[in-house]
Order: sequence, then C-alpha cells, then structure tokens
Amino acid sequence: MPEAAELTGPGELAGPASAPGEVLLRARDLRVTIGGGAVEAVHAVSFDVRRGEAIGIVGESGSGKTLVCRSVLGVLAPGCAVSGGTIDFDGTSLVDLPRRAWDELRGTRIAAVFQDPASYLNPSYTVGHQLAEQLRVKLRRPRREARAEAVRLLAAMGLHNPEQVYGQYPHELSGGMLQRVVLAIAVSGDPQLLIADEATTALDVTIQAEVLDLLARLRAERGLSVIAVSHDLAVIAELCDRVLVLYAGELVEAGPTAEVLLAPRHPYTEALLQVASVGSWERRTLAVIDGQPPPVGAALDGCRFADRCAFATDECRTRPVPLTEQADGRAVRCLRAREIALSGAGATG
Amino acid sequence: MTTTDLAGTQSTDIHPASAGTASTGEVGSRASEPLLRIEDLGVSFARPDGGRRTRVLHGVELAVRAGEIVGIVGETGSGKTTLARAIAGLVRAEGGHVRLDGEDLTRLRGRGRRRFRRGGAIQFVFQDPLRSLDPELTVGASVREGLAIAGVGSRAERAERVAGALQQVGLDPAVAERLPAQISGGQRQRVSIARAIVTGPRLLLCDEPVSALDASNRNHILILLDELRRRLDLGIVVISHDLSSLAGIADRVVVLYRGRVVEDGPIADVFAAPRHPYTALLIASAPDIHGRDRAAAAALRARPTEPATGGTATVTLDAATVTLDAAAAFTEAGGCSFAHRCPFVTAACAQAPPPADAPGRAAGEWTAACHHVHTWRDTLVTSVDSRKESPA
Repeated sequence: MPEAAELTGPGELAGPASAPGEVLLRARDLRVTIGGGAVEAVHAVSFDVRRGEAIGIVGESGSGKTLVCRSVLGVLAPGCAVSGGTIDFDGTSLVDLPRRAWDELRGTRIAAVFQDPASYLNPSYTVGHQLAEQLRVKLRRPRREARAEAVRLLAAMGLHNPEQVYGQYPHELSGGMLQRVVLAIAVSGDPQLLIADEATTALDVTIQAEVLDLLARLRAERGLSVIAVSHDLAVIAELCDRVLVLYAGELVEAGPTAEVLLAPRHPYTEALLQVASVGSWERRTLAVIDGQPPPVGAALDGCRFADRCAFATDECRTRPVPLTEQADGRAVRCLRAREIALSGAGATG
Repeated sequence: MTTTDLAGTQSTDIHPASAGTASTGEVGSRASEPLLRIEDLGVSFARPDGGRRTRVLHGVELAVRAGEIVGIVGETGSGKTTLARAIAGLVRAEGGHVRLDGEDLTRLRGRGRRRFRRGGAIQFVFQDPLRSLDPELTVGASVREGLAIAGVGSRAERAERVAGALQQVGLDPAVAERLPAQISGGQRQRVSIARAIVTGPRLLLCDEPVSALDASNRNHILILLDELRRRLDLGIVVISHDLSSLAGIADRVVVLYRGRVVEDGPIADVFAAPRHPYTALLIASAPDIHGRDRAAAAALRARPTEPATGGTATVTLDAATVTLDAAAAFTEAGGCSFAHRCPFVTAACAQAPPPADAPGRAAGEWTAACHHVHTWRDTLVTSVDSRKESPA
C-alpha cells in the first residue's frame, strides 16, 4: 500500500507530542516458524508500540525476541517465516509485504541498529560517503546537500569534528563512534520506528552510557518509537517505557518497565531479575535459574515455564495458560499470579 | 531457582557491605606472601612499520593470594588481556618481575621455562569455549591433553584424573565421550575449566570467562569459580569489562586504564566509594534497574569544554589552567593516562601520578593513582550543582 506511505510525510512526525497514545505498530497473534516451517518458535505474540514510546523485549537466548523484532523489520533469516498473525504499521500490513514496498518503508519509516556496527558498514568507503548515500538514495537529496546534511547529522550524534569523521573509514573509528555513525544512518530518513537489537551490548560500559543517553535524546527530539531487544534488563530499564518478557516463544509478562521490574507478577520475570545485574555492588548473592527452557517448538499442554517454576502446581501442567490483561496496563501469563508473592528488584538478595 | 549466598558460606557471619574486605583479610591471614606478585611490569609491541614500539603496559603492580579472586576491569585496549598473557609468559615482559611462589617467571629461559609450562601451574580459561576447545577432540581428550603434556601418571591414572576434574566442575564424567558441539554453552565453559584445573594449577587466569553466556549460565560459572578457589586454594584472576559479574565473586578489583593500574582495592570499598575519577565514571556509567545517576556520569565524563557549551577549552582547578590540547599532550607524553578525559585535570597531571594509599588503610591495601585523589570529589559536587543551575 504505497498510498499509506505518502500520507505520513516526515513533517507530520516532527512533534514528539503529536498524539501520544496513538498506536504506531500493532502486532496480533504473531507466529514465526523456523527450519522451513517445521517448528513454531514464536507463539501468538501480541503487542502495541505507541508513537514516541519505547518498548523493550527481554528473555533468555532462544526465547524468540530476535525473531519478533526481525519480523517487524522484514529481515527474517532464510528458513524463518511469519506463519500467522498480523503486524500493522501505521495502516500498512507488514506481513507478506512485497519487496518494493519494503524498500519504501525501510530506512525512511522503520530503521534499525544492531550489535556490531563494524559489520554493517562497508570497509572500503568513508563513513560520510555511506551516510550521504542514504540521503541521496532514500531522500533523493542532491549530492552537495546530502553532504552538508550528513555532516550536520554526525554532529547531532555527538561526534566531535564531524567534517573530519565524514572522511574517515570504518577501521579508523572506535566502536562507540561507529555505533553513532550507524545511528546517524538509521535516523537520517527521519523514521517513526527504530529497532535496536542489542545495540549497546558490544560497547564498553562508559560508551554504552553515552549511546543510551544519545538514544534518549533522539527519542525526545524526534518523537521516535523504539523497539529495543537486550538480554540486559538494566539497559531495558534505562531505555524503555514498557517491557515485554518472552519465554520459550511466548509472551509471559508485559507492562510499564519500572512497575514490572519493581513488582513482577510472573515467576520467570522474577527469576530474570534475580540473575540480572541489579546494580547493587555490595550484593554477594548469585542466583541461577535451575533447568533449561523447553526445546524450541516443543508442544506442551500447560505453562511452558512450569518445569523450572517453584510455584508450579498440577493445574499449571494440564491446560494452556492464557495471558491475562489486567486493569493497570499490565498482562501476565500465570495461573497463580494473584496468590504468589514475588520480591522484584527491590529485593536485597 | 537456586540462590547461593557467597558471604554466608564463609565461616563467620559477615555484613554484606563489608564482605569483600572481610574475605580479603581472612585469606590474607592464611598466607602472608602472595601467590602471585607482579612488580613494575612493562610490555610493548613492535609496530608493523618498524617505528617506535607501542607501550601497552606501564609499571603494573599486582598481587594475588592463594584462595583469592582478583578482578581486572578496563575498557577495550586498556591492556587487560596483555596483562594476563604476560603473566602466563605468552608475551615477553620488558622489565619488571612476575613471581609465582617467589620464582621469577620473567627470568625463566629454555629448559626451565619448558618445565614450568608443562607443569601447568598457571592455566588459562578463555571467553569462547567453542574457539578454545578443539572441535574434533572429545571433551575427555581435550581435558586429558594437559596431563599427557605434563607426562603425569599412567593411562589409567590420567583417565581417573579427567573424570575427577569433570566432577569438580559439576559435569557427568559421561560427557567425556561428547564433542564440544554436542553440549551446551554453559557446559562447554565448564569443560574449559575442567581442562584448566586437571593439572592441579596454583593460578587460574580467566579472560572474560562469562561474557559469552546469558545471565543464568553466567552465575553458574561464577559460583563454580568461587567453589574452586575455596576447595583447591586457587588464586584466580578474572578479567572482565562487566563490573557486575565481578561484584558477585571478586575479593579485590584492579582497574586498568591505558596500560596503567589506576585503582586497586577491596571490591566492596571500590564500588562504594571509588577513589579514581575513571573508576567513578565506570561505576556511574553502568546501567541500573533502579535508574542510573545520569547527572553523575555526565559530570564525570564531561570535559568542561564540550563544543555545545562554547568558549575556549580550559579547565580551572587549584588556580592552574590547562587547555584540552595540553591535557591530551600529558597523556601522550607519559603523564597521567586519564588526563585527556578527566574533568579534574591540572598542570600537575603532566607527571604520572604515583599510587596513593587510602587514609587509615595498610600500605597497598587500597591504592589510587591520581594527583587529586583527595580533592576531586568536592569539585564534582560543585560541577553537578552548577550544571543544574545553568539553563540547558
């Protein structure tokens, strides 16, 4: 639907306050299969991303968080496919979108940054050339204008000496500087949605803090919506308004980040918090989650976390557990959510 | 879920806030002379173009006692991996001493050196077990290799020790028949540790042992290292860029910046009240579930001359005025290694600062190499305050 793309020009989304609460991306019952359709790895995941909102997806390796965000970006690996459900992005259905329509969307309305910035840049062109190329190809700017705009963008990303950086090759820049260049490329088309898949994981902690500050500033200035994927709960806590907790391909808990982390309602969220770096240095407690997640795509009758859960009863294992929406904007997939007492990030361990 | 309270496993009940200090003291009373003592260690690398050699370690001092875990933190390029490799003799030390049980390893040559290496007194555990274990050798063969090189025992005795090592790291000895690709990431890292401890080492060097693992597996491995140092009286060096994983197990932490030790002290003390501006920046930068103190991190990394604020590039402190370029020159010319990023830089920083002991502490217990170790924190408070007052 190319018409839809024309309706929302970059001008309309300049104001970050433009209708907060309006849904930008709506995923419903999203299912993703891997291995050529043989195994379902993401089971009926639903979520909304509002304009200007940042949501975080957390979970162990294999929980399906990367598959979810790659579905939204339309870049699933070979053998993986969206097998059910809908993804609606501002009036455009992203499921089975033709290649040409994706080209209209990606880079201008949906952008992405990944873990290793060096592998996304061409080593044989200067970083400024690669940024200006985006502006010329995606926004059809004349060459000279694209160059000036690129230098402005590099400066806006907090790079000192942007004129000099423009002429440098990727190998001449540090990891933190490269991630800023990749962010400049990502926001060059003034996108509505930025997908950050472990975008700060490979960076040193001081650089990570700077990039997180930069992302917060970009959100405030541009009204960007963000989907962030990280295994580090603390990064999600800093960056995101709401958090989705995935376990073995299922959404097990969702809600405002601060509230979910302070008072989790699903035992798995609690377990993730206990093993995470909760930032209290004097703490000498190392918790582990016993057992392993079920194999990807395993057909289970009941709760997928039951075998690792201290609160599991026979009932948990006999029938599927529904995701229960709660009045305060939270949702949890646990039969005993109301009766069990979880301590959350407030616990001293 | 299982919780292991490390402080609680010690003989006396220790208040969590002082756990790091207390356990150091306890271990210290057991052996007065440290297992590993490094003095004034320097390392430099040749440039490919034959130009002046690049110094990567300057005057590093470090002590590790038996049964102690010492964490080394620092950013990319700070020299932490080079330090571990220099301890193991994989890179040549340029001046200085590396003493294990009193024996200077930098003096070993030829046959003596070979004998020392084959004895396996120092062992390495690497970040990625998929790359450090031979994919075509079974787990058992990989673990056994070290024993064969050391020429230990008969075939049957070796098999017994391999099974024993696998049990020590919490693996079923039946795993010995598997290939590395057939076991999980957490199990593979346990195999690397079994391979390292099978020769009965005194010192374990772990280079980012948990950064390839997710949080739960990370804690499994850290708990294992903590058990091993108690059970085997091992000295362990853990290199990490992740401060939080060190907070879980290390007794002491050594902070490296550009090849120099900038702070060295009991981990709980260092994390509670860092004495070097760089350590303070590292801690303030770590993301936190309760929300990071962004103002503190920003104040610690801000050179007061950011282009955004305009004006000339000067910092004033103690009536000395230093331009940014001059501060960068201090670092280049062998002065304070952090001068070029430090908000508290003065003319004094042209000289490399000597390590200063913390007031009221034994010599060497808690050192920080900063000329302004006693005063920078007061300056920080005012700079944060003035930031709040000035309009953005």
